[in-house]
Amino acid sequence: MWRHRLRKIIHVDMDAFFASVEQLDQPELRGRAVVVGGDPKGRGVVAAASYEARRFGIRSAMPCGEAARRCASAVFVRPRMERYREVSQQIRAIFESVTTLVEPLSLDEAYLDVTQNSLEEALAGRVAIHLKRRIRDEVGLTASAGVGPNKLIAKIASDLEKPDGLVIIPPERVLSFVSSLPVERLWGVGPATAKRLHEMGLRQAGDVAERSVEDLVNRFGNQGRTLHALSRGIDERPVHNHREPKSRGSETTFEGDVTSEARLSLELGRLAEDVSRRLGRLGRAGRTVTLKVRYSDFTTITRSRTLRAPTQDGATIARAAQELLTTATEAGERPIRLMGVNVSSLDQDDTPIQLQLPFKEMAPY
Amino acid sequence: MSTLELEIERNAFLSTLYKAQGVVDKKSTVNVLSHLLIEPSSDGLKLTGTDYDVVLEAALDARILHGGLACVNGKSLFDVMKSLDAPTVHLKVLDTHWIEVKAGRSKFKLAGINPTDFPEIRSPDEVVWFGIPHGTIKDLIEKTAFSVSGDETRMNLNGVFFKLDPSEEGRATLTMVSTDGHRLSKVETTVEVGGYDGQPYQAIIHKKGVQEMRRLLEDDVEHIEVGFARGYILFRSRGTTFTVRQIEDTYPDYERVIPPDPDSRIVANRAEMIAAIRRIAVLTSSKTSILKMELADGGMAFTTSNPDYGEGRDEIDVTYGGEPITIGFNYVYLLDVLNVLRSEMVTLSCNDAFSPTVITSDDEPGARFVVMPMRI
Repeated sequence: MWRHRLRKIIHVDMDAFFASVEQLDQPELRGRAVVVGGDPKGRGVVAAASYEARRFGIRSAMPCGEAARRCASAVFVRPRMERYREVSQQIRAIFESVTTLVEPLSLDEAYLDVTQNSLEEALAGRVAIHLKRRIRDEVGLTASAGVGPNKLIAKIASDLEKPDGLVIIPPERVLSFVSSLPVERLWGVGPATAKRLHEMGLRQAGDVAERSVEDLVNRFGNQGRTLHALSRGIDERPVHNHREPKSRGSETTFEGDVTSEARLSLELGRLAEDVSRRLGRLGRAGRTVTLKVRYSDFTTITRSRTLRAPTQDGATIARAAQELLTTATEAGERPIRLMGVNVSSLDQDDTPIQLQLPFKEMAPY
Repeated sequence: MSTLELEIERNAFLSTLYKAQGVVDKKSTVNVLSHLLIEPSSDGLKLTGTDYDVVLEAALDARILHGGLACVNGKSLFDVMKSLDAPTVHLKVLDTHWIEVKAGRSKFKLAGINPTDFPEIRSPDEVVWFGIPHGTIKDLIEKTAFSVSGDETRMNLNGVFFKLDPSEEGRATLTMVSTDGHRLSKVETTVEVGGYDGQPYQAIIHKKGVQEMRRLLEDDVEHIEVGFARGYILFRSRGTTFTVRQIEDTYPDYERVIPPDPDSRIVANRAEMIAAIRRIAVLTSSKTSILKMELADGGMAFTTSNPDYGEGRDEIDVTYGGEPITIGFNYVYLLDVLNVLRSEMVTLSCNDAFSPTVITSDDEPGARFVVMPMRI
């Protein structure tokens, strides 16, 4: 099965987005190692690091303490999600002025299908240049872009020459481009699949491409079919112009392991309020409340409860989460390191929401 | 071992067994909670049933032929009694704890269990009893029972809030409130209460108790006796007592969600409104039950638009002079309120599509119903 219609896909990835926004808003931070994340003395992790910080080996998800050890002169900044969201909206508006087919992956990343575009530009590379220039001129940030005939290629390409990069893979170069990639770069290949591929002696996508579909399906089930296609640079996934959010959640890693149930309840209330705010911003309500608990030994459990009706209400979310905490976890006995609250089974965009009576004290417990 | 044997009048027995049907567990036939304990008392017979939230104790006239205890499935006993047509019924406990029921030419043997397995019922001590006019308590319950929350994570809303406060001339002001967080019903009335001591009393009556209460209210009596005790509230009529567990929690401050004086008041004919809503409800989504209420000068329209079913619109005349406004509602919430009111005209007060709407009636001044809109 081969689609004859040739698509032109751009993947745009903002460079060190959160850190760059901080450097944009606070000129004194420019040129310095900026780490957005938690307190370097606490147990928070790095949410983003400026390129200056990355030179010290500081990476996302690294504990802030570790980051501070690697670069004593690094400036630690608390994340300002509101502001990042605002900038992200600005960038999204630029994308949407060019094509209606924009699929944001997160605040700092999006796929664009520019096969048809308002610039009436046939060369996708020129559209990418246009976008990068507008982001620089209108927002003041740099972005890296990858251009290719599908999402897989565009995404891998955008990562090749960061920051401020632009890599264009025309259709005729796709096969040779993909063949030399390590299998880990293929979409959907995580450490486990990579390990199994390695055990089969398959290290590059080209090695996988040489195997038959049947062979791959026998070993990997349905994923084998996808692997086969991806290893040949074939990716039919369309660009969805609105990515349906499936859930909204919030979690926190404590400064020290917590055993006090009172303290956990308090944190739960905060997390629930945060999730409620996020749902509010989305304009959606959800029915399933999930509590995630990571004990001090890193054992992680999740427990869910489905409510009768979708909710956006912080107190309702907190009550359900509290019930899960009390009945389905070892809170109070085993020290807890991390706790998260998530609301899923979101109602449809146009589903009307039953509003709540404005009780004040319907607070949890 | 002594075996109970008695004769009882069928109709009286049936009417008491009916009141017990809500208390006995109907899901399981072996569960002890699906059984009723039958024992002789000083003036006849005593019947006890419980589901732990509510205890039913009923005194009945009966001719005890032989003392003893019996424990039998409450639903089978009721069903059998209902089917009989003889005026008198003869009951006798057999060696196996089974019970033989004879009436006229009918004869049954009902499975029973050892009466010692029946849970011990501890009666609350120090009950303060009042006599409340039947019509008053019936009105209070009918106007509040429908909006009790079924959400078990909100324990304090799983019942009707009931309070008595002293009023002038030794009378008492009775208030009942219920809410499920989306809507709220509050009814208040001042009446002569028998034996009232002028003290304030309050309780959250578990919703199961509220349902059982309604069975008592089918009796044609002048007063229902209401008793307050620590942890319990009791209802008594004609020898039948329901002891209902109180929900020992604080009831939310309901006054703050009842808007004081809204901007616009709409007077509508209740029956017309019900008819229009019912017509439009035919095409509403069963998932959300939403309809839109459009208000414009002199008119109120209900509309529904559903991609799966189609559209509908129905209009009625109302007094409204404000700006045109459209509010979304769960139509069930509107009907619930309109159905418990009795007056010809009702008054709706609303500020906007996001704030509580209040429904009242001039003929029933103590009743206020608050309904939150649905965001469209």
